[in-house]
Amino acid sequence: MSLKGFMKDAYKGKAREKRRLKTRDGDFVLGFEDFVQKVGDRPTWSEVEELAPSDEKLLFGLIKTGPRAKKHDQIVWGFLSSLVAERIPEPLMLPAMDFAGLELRKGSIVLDESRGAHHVGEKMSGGRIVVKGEAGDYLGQEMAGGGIVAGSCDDYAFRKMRGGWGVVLGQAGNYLGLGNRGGRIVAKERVGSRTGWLMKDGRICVGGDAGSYLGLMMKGGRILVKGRAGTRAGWRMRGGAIYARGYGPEVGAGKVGGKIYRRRGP
Amino acid sequence: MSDPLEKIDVLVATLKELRLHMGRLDLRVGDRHLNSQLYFSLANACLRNRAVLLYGGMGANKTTLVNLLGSAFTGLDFDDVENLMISGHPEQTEEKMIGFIDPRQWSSSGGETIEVLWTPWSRSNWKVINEINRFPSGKQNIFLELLQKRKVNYAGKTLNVGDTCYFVTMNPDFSSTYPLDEALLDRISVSVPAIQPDLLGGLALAERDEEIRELAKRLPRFGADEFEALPRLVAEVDLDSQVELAVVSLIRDFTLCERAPGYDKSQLSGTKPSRGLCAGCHYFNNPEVCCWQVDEGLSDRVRQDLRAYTKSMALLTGLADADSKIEVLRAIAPYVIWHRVSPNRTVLERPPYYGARRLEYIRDLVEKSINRTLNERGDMNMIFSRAIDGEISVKEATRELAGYDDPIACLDYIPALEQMG
Repeated sequence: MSLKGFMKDAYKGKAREKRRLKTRDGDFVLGFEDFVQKVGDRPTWSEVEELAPSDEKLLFGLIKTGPRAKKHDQIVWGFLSSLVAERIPEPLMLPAMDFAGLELRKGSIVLDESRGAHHVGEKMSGGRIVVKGEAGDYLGQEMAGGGIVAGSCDDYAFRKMRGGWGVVLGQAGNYLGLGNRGGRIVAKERVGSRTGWLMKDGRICVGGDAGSYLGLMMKGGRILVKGRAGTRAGWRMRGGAIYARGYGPEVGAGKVGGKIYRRRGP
Repeated sequence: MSDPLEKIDVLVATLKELRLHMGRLDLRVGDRHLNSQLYFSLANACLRNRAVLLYGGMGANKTTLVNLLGSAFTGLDFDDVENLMISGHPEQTEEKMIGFIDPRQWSSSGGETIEVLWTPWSRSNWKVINEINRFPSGKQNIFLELLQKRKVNYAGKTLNVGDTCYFVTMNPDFSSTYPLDEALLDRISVSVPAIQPDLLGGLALAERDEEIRELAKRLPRFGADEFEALPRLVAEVDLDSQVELAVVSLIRDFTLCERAPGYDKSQLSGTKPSRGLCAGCHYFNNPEVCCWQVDEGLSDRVRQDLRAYTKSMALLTGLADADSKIEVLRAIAPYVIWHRVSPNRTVLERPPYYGARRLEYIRDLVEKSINRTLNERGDMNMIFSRAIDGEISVKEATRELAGYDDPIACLDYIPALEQMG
């Protein structure tokens, strides 16, 4: 018998239309470790979304387990946390981890007992993130929408922000709003040095004092400080406006453009 | 000569009636529910030169069942069959098991040839090896040679043991047991868990008020011609193309590995799927694919065993029509494979397997492979067969097959066509 005859006999003329193996469809993952192995070296939102399990419970299980020592794994976990937040109606409660809410588009995340989680809410374009405790560096970096509330934060918070809003209930570190092109930031207590450095647009409101080099080389936007600014506020600034109750030495040194105002009253 | 199959039915009914075997109905063949321990032993009795391993805790009726069947099939008394059996313990010697040099020849003048007195076990065509894992590894090699060559050697003399039914029993790992060699396990055709009787079975056993050896006398006895007729009846059962294709595809599903030399997992040593071989592989973590889920490939012995036990079980159960034989294959294949492979620990240790249900895990893999062959692989197999028969060009077939994300298409069919082209 020819091989074709053998196959015809085996299938009795019922050879079904072709169906191919579905690979990498993400419907079956054994755990976080297995999942990260399926993701490429440079994880992207679309890749993680494609591979992620459609089952919400399974997806939720992934962000509850798995070591996240490597940056690659942290980024994957961050994408997954945003995916879960998008898919569930209620706020997602998570222990604070680096890259939580990465590229979040909608939904809410509450990070509990944070003691310096970095890159929280990075590149988010919608939704809400509440950090109960201290956020680390790069809080809301490159965010374009949505809002973040944090107890306090370290350096480079809201760097290159394009939209959305951020509220820091306590103190903020250095370089707050570095290179901002939009968005609104409120820090209710003291902020570190170089707040609004290279800022092009947007608003920063500081409830306490500001460190040195406030609005350093800024080109646009507004900075309002309810307390005093440190030395060299508005150094080499080209545009925008700074308001503060008082300034340290060498205010406006090398200023090319923009305005520096002294606030009066309470 | 009466019909041996009818006699087997009577034997099964008598075993139940006399409360001699009350196992669970844990083997589903088509719509029939059977006891795996009993029916695989019967299937083995219908075959020759194949070994069935009954694996289970103490008192699960492994040895007694085999001896009862031995008594029925060989026509010997139950006590005689028990005496034939050899049992494992560290002091068991080759002389006690196989044979010894006849000491009388040293006192008699005459021939220079050495005479060996072979033990009844060596000469018997119903060989029971009791508690094989209580034999130290060195002594297990005797059985390896026996199962491989079908003959035994002692003092330069060879005994051709002829067509024999082999039965092996084994307990789980205890302090006094030794691990079984993989090569020996591969030569064991079927491994069957011997499960303790359930509550109803226990109550039925409580009704047994006579000694087993007394009850054994009431079992039907097979004549030598009836016993010899059984393998011939099995040989008359034909396997259709569907079963043959499913068997070969099943073997390839377990054996193919994209990263192994020659795509053959049985070539691997040291590195294997459980040691990170599959990390980043296209097929890794795909639940439909078997390759990453077991460490070992399957040998051609598995194919032979799958065919033999499918035929034998089909004969026993009367499910010999074309559609039923594939159901028989589904039922027996996990028992043929599970002791020969090491499943992926990560999956095995999760529900629903809990690290313990290895047979169920292999059963699921077998089910996936057979279903895939019968359904999704239809077009792919037709393309390949048309190319082999010259109906379409090799180039066209290769291009078509490249679209199938299936290990058999990618690692078997396309390389075969490339060699032709």
